[in-house]
Amino acid sequence: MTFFQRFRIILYGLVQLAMGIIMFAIPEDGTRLALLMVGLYLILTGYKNIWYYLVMARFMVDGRMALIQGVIMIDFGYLASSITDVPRIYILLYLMIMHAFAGLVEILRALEEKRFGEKHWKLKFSHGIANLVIVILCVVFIQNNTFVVMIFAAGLVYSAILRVISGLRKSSFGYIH
Amino acid sequence: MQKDFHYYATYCAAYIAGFSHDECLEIAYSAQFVDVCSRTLLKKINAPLQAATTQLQMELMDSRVDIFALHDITRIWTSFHFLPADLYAKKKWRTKVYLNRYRLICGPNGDLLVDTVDLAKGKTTQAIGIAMHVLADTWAHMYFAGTPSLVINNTNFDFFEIIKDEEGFKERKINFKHNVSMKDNIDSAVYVNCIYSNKEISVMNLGHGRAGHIPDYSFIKYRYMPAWNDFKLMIKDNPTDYFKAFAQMVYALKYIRGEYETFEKNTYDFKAIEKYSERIKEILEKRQPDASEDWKKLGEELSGQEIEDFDIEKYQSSYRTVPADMKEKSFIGKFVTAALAHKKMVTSRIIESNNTIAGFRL
Repeated sequence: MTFFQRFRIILYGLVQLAMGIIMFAIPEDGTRLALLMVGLYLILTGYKNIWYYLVMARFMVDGRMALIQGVIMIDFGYLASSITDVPRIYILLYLMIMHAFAGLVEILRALEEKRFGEKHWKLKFSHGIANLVIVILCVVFIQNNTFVVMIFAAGLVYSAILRVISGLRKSSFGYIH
Repeated sequence: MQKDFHYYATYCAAYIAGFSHDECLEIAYSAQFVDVCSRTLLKKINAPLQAATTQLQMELMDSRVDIFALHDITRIWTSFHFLPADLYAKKKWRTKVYLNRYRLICGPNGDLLVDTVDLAKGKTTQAIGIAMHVLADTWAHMYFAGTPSLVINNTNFDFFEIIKDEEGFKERKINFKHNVSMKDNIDSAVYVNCIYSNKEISVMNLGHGRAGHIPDYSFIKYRYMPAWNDFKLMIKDNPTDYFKAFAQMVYALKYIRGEYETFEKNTYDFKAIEKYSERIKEILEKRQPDASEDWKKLGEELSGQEIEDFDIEKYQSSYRTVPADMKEKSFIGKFVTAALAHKKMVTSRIIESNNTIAGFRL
């Protein structure tokens, strides 16, 4: 991992941590704010991906993935930022779906890393499992809105801490001569 | 390429080209030193850090990925390990930002190679060694670029070894693992490579990292799908390419010694190595991760002298202890001078070609 990549992961973890704390402090509006931030992040990243596809990746083997990722991210991003004016339960449901999706991706990536012999796959795997457990807890207690927000916020804090740890840990890659 | 070719094979080529045993040792040492002369080493001996010819794993991992770090990485890796074949290469419908990367793809017999060999002519054995390292790597690192780039250096699952058998050739799937503590397993075709990163300028996408050490093994012939080649498969025949690299080194070294007036592209001294060609081909085709012993044996037979093993520490203490005004005249001092001159030449050519990846002029 490069210095810049580490910096980005840690920064992302800190933003996530801040979101979790805000949701703890003001459960009524915290969810809307979280959704807005997630939406903004997805839209910007999506456009960045599409731009990369247009100027570079379309000439590359498997480059279409950049376009597909970009379109999906923008789609999710706009959806996320446009549902701030609906009852909190729907926002929570949406956030939970996203959280579950992120957890699933994390597990799949961890298993891929395990298959390729990476040593640090367990941290990623436990991160994914924790994401899924939080979503399940949220679904179980869905009737109690404030409690669900608290569970979700706790999940965000946990996820943020793991992200910061993974940004600080030692990493390695094959070295060319 | 590795120590077997950069050190021992370079010694053999220099001896065949007519250099003395001591000169051959210095040329070979300098050629191999290119692979170890990192900022960490230069810092240790208090030498100019700009003369770094390689970057260690940790140096790369901790480097930033801003424009200046990208310039630094590109200058080092294009100059010494991935000399671009054609800085003015054209490709229809490509954007400038894509072409900037495409034009850095390494390959043999480019204009920059002529400039590299010309620059070493009349210079020190250190300069000659650096030029030989660069020349040899144009064959091994062909089709990869010395700048982090996903769109150029990425490879995918479509990677097969082509193995000779009784019926001709058969293909065997190559499997990659990302575990750096693991060693390449030639028998079961399992090789270590850099993990996939979808970030265009991630250091994971530098040079042939995605293809692991495969381009560095002389015995292997393989086919794969480079990211840049219009979705067409590419066959890379290392034994043939390495043989040409050796013959071209002999020719270049003879030119440097003054046997030829000019250094021409696509010219090889096959005649000078005719006597040893079967032996050389045998070494190149032998399935082994390191051919040092075989090359060393050949070199010692050629010169009748013992070839000492490469010792990274050999000239470091003398550089450290020599007075400041005499440093330039020491072995490493001369290496530093040659490395700086070569890096400056390559970087200038890239900038002149209106490519901003290695730097720009204000």
